[in-house]
Amino acid sequence: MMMNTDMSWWKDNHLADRPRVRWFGFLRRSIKLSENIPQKLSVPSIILSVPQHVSPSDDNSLSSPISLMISFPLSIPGNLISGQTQLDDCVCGSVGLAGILLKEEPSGLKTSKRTKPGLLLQTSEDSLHKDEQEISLNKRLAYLLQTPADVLLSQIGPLEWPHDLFNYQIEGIKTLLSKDALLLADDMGLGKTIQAIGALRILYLQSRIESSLLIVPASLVGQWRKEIHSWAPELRVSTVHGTTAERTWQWSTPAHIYLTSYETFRSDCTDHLQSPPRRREWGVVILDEAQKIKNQEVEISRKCKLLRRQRAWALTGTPLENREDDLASILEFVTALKDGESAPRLKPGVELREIHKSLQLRRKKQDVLPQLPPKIVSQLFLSMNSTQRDYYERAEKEGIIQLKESGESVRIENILALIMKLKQICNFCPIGGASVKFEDVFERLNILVSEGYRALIFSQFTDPEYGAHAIASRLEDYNPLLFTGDLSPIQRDSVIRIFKENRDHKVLILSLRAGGQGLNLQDASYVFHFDRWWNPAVELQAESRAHRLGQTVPVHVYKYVIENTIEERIEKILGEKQLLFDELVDSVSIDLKSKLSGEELFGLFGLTPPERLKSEKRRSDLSGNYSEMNGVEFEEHVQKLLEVKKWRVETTPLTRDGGIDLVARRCDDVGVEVTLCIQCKNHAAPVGVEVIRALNGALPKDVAGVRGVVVCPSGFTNDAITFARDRGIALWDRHHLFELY
Amino acid sequence: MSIPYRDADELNDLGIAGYLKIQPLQETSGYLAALFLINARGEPIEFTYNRIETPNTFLWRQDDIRRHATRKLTASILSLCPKMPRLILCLAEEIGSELFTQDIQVSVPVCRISPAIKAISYSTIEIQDKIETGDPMNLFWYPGKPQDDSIEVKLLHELTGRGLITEPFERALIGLREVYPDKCK
Repeated sequence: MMMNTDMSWWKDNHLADRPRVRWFGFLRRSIKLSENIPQKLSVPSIILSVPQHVSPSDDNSLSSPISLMISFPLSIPGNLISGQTQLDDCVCGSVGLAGILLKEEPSGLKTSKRTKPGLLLQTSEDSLHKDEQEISLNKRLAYLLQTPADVLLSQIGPLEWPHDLFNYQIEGIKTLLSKDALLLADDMGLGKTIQAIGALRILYLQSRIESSLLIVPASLVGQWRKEIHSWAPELRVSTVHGTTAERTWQWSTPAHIYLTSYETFRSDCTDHLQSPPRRREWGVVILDEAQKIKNQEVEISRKCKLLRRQRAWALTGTPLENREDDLASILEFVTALKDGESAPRLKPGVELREIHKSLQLRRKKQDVLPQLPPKIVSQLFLSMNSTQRDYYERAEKEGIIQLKESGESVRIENILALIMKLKQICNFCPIGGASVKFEDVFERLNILVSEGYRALIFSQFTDPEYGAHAIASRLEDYNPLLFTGDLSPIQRDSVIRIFKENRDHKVLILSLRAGGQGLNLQDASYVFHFDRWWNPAVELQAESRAHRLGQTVPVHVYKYVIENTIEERIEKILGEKQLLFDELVDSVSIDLKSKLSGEELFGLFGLTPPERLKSEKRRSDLSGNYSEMNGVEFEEHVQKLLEVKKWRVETTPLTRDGGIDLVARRCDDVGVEVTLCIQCKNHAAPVGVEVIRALNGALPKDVAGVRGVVVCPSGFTNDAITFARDRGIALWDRHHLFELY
Repeated sequence: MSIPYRDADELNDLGIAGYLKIQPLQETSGYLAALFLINARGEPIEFTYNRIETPNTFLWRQDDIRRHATRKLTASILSLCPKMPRLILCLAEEIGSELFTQDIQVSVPVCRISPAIKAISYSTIEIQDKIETGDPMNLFWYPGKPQDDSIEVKLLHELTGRGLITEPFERALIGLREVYPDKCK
């Protein structure tokens, strides 16, 4: 850029020239001013405004106008009298616009005559307040003179877009641009990712943000990175993952977008204000698959809401699964949060529904994408063969007997465990491995593969007896690929890439948890739900991996139900909840009366729940008198508590355990496996910092998803608490253990 | 501090283009003018503006007034603008050929633009060119069209390819309306 440091690049060639007066005499000849200027008529020199450059920090510059002023005693129009010129009209100047960050709500423009580009929704109340404030001229101009969103979104505009954007996507991007807070709840497959990236790109190009944070499921990090590279190639992305040292560097490296997974974010975001994600106020924070923060109480939910942010966008195809509380938690995030503020606490009710209405943008596939091929869903009711049936019935009877024998001590968890066991038997018979479902899948694959189609098979189980591995081992003819939660992010990317690139792989078998969200798998057009999930929204998510933008052929979905089994009974509940889901999301009316209750669960087996489950908080007989336990007993006690909570717990050798007594693993609310390395200390006095230090030293370094926990009923010293907080180590005292009951 | 975009060097090397906009006020009472500088990506860099009041009387020929006002406004704006563009673009229907061929001399190429379907007068010393992509446009270069491999032509091609050949004039008018709200009712 060349600076106009001297005037040598231009000059005025006719400084002395002035207009000539027209002569209306009888001869109608013109009179040159220079020759025949009437005695009392003159055209003075033009008075130039004083040149003044307005720096970004200045409001504007005031100076006299340029005016062709005339002074003569004749009656002249008022606008020619210099004295009548209002000073505040006399503005000239030059405004530097590069590098001005437009953090203010643009709708606060006080004097703008221009409708904001893309403004679809009503301005927020906040922005109306800002209307009352004077915004400096340079900022007003900097905003108004940005390339309009319409132009930026055009295929022939300044930005190159890899593909044409659909109209609804353009509207979505404009809405994101105009809203500080938005819950983008489009149907799955409509391109929420593209819309978010498009809006981010425009925000950067319009200098409206400096930084953004994208938190996505671990399995989708690679896909987001690719999409950003494709849809916003000029933006720099720092993907935060890996070892602590790598992450430290990644958080501090200059970038437009910081992309990380929920679990990495959870470990890097601590209560410390200087933890990397909390160091700055983000221009935008985007949560993909925002249903992961549906639980207000879980750590990830709390931490996401701690982030200071000018804009908060949540993306999800399933904003409401089946609890109004889910929505409340997500909407608590969907709000701008400035320094010193705390996230609002929302409660179910009319107000929540109103907020939901105002913050949600939801479009359905059938409304915006009539050209998308249809999805044909078929429920296949199958009957087990005699061997499988015999085994199933025996297992169910035994289970019911055990439940009855448990009497008043029976717990919801016992019911769930029995359901799980029966569902597994519905998949594969433990003796001989017979499976009516697999036989049907195999027959259908024979046909569809011969026709050139490919399939996705979802199962909630991954094990080699009943789940994804069992299916894969029996489908070797089709060169299957496996996508399960135990794969690293790199391995997951690799599996998806191979499936897309190599059509020799006819089948991709996915665990519902790991592969049910965010993946683009339009290469397959057949979807099998090998077993059923409690939540219909989760199944819908999985189906949308294939039935989405880019799909060119009809998608066939097969859901298996084994007749006269727990699956059929569950199917009935699923059907009811599917109706509820449609009603909730589409009419935004929230009534969760039909929430699954203890009565319903026990009712699956013709049982009624014990009285205490109806009215009291569940407590097991696991509560213990800690003073009477020795170290080993205390470890066993903690182990039992965790196992009740579905943790898979292993004990370490009594010696050379490196300070770790128990290793507990489970898939948490985020859907990824979390490992707890637990040190149990049944001390009479609070545990000091040295125990925490020892555990910290024993924790495996640079392994994602691993967290240290020290358990001591007597509590912890202040030093220990500070040390543990800074290192992300959890401390469980008597109260926490009580919560585990 | 803003973070540089990826692969932005090439675009940055093209420099900035200046869009000279002159807008007559209602009832021929004066003119508003702006020089709007943008980079090859269309991002605004500088906005320089001024206005002039003209006598609304039969004593002067309007063409003379217009020419004089345009010259004075342009001179003032060029003196105000702290940055020098690679080239200046203006609309032929707003700015006559005499402004840059006779009245004001600039050391950067000036390109007057006109839709191909419009009849526009031009000087014989201007070099005529055209753009055929998108909406066809006639271009009138002075003092001459830069070499095809020159940065100025690359910049023009970049702007054309990005749909920025005439759109920034609309933004410049928006800027003028913001600066002079009472004059642009």
